[in-house]
Amino acid sequence: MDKKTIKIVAPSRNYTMTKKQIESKADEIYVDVESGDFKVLSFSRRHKKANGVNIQLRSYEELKKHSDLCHANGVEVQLTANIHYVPQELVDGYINHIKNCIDAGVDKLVISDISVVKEIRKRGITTPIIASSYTFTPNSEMVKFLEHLGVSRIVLPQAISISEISRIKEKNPNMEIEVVAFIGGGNNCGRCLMAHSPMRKDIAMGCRALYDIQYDGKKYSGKKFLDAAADCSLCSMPDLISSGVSTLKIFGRESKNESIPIKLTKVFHFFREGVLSGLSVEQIKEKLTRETLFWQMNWVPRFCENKKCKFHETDITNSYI
Amino acid sequence: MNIAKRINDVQELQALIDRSEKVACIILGHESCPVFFEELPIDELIRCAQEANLEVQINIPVVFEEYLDSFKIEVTRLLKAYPGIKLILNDWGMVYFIRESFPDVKVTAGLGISFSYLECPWYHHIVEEEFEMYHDIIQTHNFDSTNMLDLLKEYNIDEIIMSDLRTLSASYERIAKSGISILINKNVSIVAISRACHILRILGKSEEKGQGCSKYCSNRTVLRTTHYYDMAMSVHDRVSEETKIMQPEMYYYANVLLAKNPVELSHGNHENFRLIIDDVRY
Repeated sequence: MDKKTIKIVAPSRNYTMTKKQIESKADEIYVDVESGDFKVLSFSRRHKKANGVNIQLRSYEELKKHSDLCHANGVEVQLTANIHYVPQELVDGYINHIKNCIDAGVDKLVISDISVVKEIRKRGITTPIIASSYTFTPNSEMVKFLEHLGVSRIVLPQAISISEISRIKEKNPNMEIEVVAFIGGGNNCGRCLMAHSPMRKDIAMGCRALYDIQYDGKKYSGKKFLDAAADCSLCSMPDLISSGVSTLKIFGRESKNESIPIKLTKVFHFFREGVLSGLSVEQIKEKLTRETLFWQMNWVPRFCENKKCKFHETDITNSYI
Repeated sequence: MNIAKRINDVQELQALIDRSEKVACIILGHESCPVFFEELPIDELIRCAQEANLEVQINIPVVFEEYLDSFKIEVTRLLKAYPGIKLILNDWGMVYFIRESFPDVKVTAGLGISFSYLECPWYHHIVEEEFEMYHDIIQTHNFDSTNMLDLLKEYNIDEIIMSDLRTLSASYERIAKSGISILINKNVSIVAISRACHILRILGKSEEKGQGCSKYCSNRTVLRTTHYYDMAMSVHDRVSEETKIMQPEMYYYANVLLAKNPVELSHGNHENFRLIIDDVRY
């Protein structure tokens, strides 16, 4: 069986991370790049800084080095140009930024604003376009709409079931399907304006915050009211492959500890290898338990024990309407 | 100034008619919860409103794939049974479906796809930090661009619902000049929409989904942030007093998170909008 039947898209924010993501068997790497325009914003959805960490490559020259390294190893480069929407006065700057990045070796563009797809094509740019999870594609009619616009891959919303993925793929066989395989959000990310602050660390993921609640005359303290974030899809990898998903995206560019996103890629690759060699999910998890301390000490307590499964039946997925 | 009101039950509508309240339009449905929508007596509401010569617009919720077939049937039925109603659509998939199936039907873009960065009550602190030359540019609406306005027209969207924010003044003007009518949603902005019903999950009532669960939405849920989540350390830590001031209390209704628009931040001059939607969910 071809080992690349499902790809892993991994994050990077510097050359060392890119090198290690390649070594960890990422198939595609996504990056953001400084455009030289802004102080805190960027043409990416995540601003220049997240979690106190600068998450951009510093220049187009640096991007070129990344791209050369990636291409020499058969890995593709995605540019996160997924600012939620591009105000009119920024369209020219946005297109120039994309062109500079393509010249520096970017293979695919990740966008959120559907209106820029036509503009990108009008300006003669033929680079494949990925509609990010922030475009928010809940149904197969929207997939048709995006295909009509010129998008070749979609990243599905985070709160979606495997049966829905199968139906979407069946109705749109030519569209590549990517899912956010690791880390989720409690709201529909494409229609959540709870901005993470690039300056204030205490304005982070609003969906994971604690809230004091008043409801029906009663008060409740410290509730994870909006935390319907499902984070892990590992155990569903066989089902995702069967449903037609071609790519798994891992979040984590903003992790303060650079080794974390690398470990995530390794775990996903480990799981992929196991699935493609015919091992059951339980067998793969047993192997991980024996061979990887990160799995036992970090992953299981944080995700398995807290039932943060994206595609299994949990309190979170049962609350999806 | 023409007023529109969101109505959820026939008694409410009848009372409004009996009072001869000066309302031009009734907004039915919901931006985001298909279950809430399905529990509405939609036919009775439409008939009652049309008998009273009220304009009717119907909010079709964001439709996930699971509900797509049933909502395609429902919108087809509504359009054929009630000529004169208008659909408010909250995802581009339904916009595409309506344009392909009913090429002459005009629709309204709802708050599911109509938004601005400033719907986030604390976004102003990011704007203030950015270079001044970008301040006005960032404070525009997602439909306020040539490409987006072209897309709206291509897909038969001739009206859009927008939040009532002073920061959007320039966008209102440009969008109106393009020939698109604006329906202004007063009082609240939609901060976030979720697929998960957080209230059902918190109450442990997810098994009641679709079994009259909309009763849980009749009670307003008020939220106040106390702790933020440090993803790296996997812990919650207290937010600062400054942040508490920046993040106002928010309200949860069905699966929609709302923030009140204080009067001082509202656009105020509503004369150029076709309808003012009195959104009293909070």
